[in-house]
Amino acid sequence: MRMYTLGHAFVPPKIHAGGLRYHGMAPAVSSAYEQKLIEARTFNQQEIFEAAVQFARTEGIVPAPESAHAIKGAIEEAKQARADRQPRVILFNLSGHGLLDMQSYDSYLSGHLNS
Amino acid sequence: MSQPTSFTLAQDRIPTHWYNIAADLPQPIAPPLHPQTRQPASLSDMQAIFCDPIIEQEVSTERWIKLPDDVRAKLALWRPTPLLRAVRLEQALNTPAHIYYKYEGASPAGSHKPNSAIPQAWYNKQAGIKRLATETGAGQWGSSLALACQLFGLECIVYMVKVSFTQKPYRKLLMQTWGATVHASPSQQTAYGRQVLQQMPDTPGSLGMAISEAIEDTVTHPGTKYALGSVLNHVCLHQTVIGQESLEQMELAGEYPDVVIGCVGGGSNFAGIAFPFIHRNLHDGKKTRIVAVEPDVCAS
Repeated sequence: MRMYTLGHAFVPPKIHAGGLRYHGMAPAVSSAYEQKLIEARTFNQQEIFEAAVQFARTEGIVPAPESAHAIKGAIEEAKQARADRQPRVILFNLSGHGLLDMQSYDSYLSGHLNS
Repeated sequence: MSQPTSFTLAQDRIPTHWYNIAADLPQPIAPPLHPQTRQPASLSDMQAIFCDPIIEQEVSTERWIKLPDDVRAKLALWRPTPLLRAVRLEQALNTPAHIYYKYEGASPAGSHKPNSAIPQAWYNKQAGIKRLATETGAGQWGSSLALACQLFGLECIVYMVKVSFTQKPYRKLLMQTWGATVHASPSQQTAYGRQVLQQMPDTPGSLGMAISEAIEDTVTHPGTKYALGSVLNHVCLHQTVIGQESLEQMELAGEYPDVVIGCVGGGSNFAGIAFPFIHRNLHDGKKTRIVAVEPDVCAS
């Protein structure tokens, strides 16, 4: 398949968002990116879990580590709106809860997360 | 309460059609290539592992594809999912922005994955398939397919990456609770698995190994097909119920997003929320920014 990929021999580093470790991206998404219909951003694991815990402590839902990437993206957009002093309507997909991922929260909360 | 923060839809607002972005991309999506020949995969390559209606969806360029009634009825177990406004997070950030989120964790499996597991199981059932094989890493997809197979009376075989199988037993138990057979991969079930185990008895396994085992299982067992939880066009298609419901719920909230954000691994949850908004950008002159977020160590 034609997609942005890290190659099939890519052995992903052990991060807690297991669902984001896939070595390739959907051709439909790759194609939309190539055609400049979407933007891409990256964050490190430490930033992701800070966002996850902030979300859990304000909104209640404990997010899956994968979904916390979208939360972090939303928080950055909201901070930019604050800096710009402009309203901004942000929508993100909270794709799953993290209640079966508490081991990774343990790593973060006990300071053993490798970023 | 002064200000509503939850926007819910009645069951009859579950979308009636999936949105197929292939109809709208200015340039067509490149077809899948055969892993050995590097030529575009032929129909018979795909037929070895997928049933015909799934292949039709995979290559379709029709813009709207109807959800079968029975699929909508099963999705109604948890859909439409809620859309909420994160007012407490907004306050904590002291931002003038309004932050909304679509909550796909409301499904029985706890993620968006059943949105595609349900139709995949249904189409296979209609095609006379008795058994579905798949792989899973941490278990989100495997548990979703286990649920879907249980709902439609199919047998479900899951090859689960060994390190997750042993270290994260809860999703394995979830799959077993929903009636699936779960093998730690590499396993003794396939020639490939046995070969890997002989060479590397202590391997933690990988998603690639589990995929190879699931595909070998598929082609060596009559009445069996393979199911994939992300990446492919038909999976992205099935997830577009997320964005379509969101469009209607944002209308209830009286706002329209300036930016839509999703995390990207294989890409299906992102596609699900993003593609219907891309459709509006392309057809209705909307200018919503669409942002994909990835971990810095695995950016593709």
